[in-house]
Amino acid sequence: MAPTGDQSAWKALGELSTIGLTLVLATVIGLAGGYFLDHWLGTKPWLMLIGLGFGIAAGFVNLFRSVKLLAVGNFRWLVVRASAATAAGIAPPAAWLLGAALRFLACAAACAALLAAGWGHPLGLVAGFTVLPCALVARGLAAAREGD
Amino acid sequence: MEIIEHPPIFRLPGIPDHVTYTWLVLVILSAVAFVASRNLQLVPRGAQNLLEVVLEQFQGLIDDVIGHEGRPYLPLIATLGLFILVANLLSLVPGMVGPTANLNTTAACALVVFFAYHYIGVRKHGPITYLKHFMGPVPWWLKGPMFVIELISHLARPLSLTLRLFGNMLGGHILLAMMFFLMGLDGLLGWALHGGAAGAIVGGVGGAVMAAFIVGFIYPLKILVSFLQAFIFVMLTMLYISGAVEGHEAEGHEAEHH
Repeated sequence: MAPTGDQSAWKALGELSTIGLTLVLATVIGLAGGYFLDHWLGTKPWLMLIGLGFGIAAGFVNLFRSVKLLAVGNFRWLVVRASAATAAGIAPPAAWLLGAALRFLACAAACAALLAAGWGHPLGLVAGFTVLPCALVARGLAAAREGD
Repeated sequence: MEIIEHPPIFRLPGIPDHVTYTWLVLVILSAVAFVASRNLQLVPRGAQNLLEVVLEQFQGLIDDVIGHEGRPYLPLIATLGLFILVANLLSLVPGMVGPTANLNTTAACALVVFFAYHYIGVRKHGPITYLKHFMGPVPWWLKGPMFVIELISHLARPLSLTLRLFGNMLGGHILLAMMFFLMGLDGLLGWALHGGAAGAIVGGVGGAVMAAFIVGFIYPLKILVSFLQAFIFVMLTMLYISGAVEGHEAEGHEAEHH
């Protein structure tokens, strides 16, 4: 069931399944905690607002952690396979090319869907794509080096 | 739900249905375990073989996610996984109630996980060191807010475990009940049996299509969801235990083990 030596895939599945719910639940927990503390201490709106802030922060910290784990793992896979393919000499294996192409296709499709639905602005996409790869390449290379 | 769902085939007076059927799951699992372990052999056959294969899968997952120090937690993880899986599948049997479609059952499972992984972490690192892990590797002025943020995200864990399992199971039941009730399988069958030629054609064909759709699509989907949710619950339990065992400081050293 579990391919040995490929543990990051199972971990990634676990992390992936928590992303959406945790973002909402952390916010709700922060808000509810602040609300009940307000009732208890009699400091009507303040603790609820602070709790809401902390809840949102907690949600985004968790989101960032999960996404970082996924993105770094993904990039690490790419680097390891690429170095293996180039080290072997001749042409990279077809399966690897297909995998890489599918990843880029999925990414492009997601971006296109965001643009088409009006949820993303082209400028924002451009800005994101100039910042993201630099951070990702640096972290992914570091992770791949550690993993070897 | 009680209005549109068929009542279960047996009920114990004064005891909620999900508790009754939790006991049924308990009896089923105990019976399988008893049959498998009654006559242990070095070369396993039959039920012993099956159960050993299942438990080896759990152990392989634990080795992958937690590492070899995760072996002592096999009983906890495998018990939770098998209980949730059987409880999920029980809800697919007509006339049975799935205990995991009730918030109380899933909350109980999630609370067991919550207290277990904190207990494991505290026993492994000691209470002070374990609490220090909550603050993480951040500058001193961020340690206070970070502690609150970690506290909130740890509280979100049992809540998300509870709601994910409960929501998925109850959602499946509502879907099935809608198929039977709102889309009118009962009505179609009644029409087919009513006697008229038009009723026999429309109701019979419609009823057959509905039945084929439910058996061919909805049921496999629910079986898939049952396995997937049990797997995700177990996987998250392992991730939480692994986090408690390692602590946040060990992340940098993790690479040395591989």
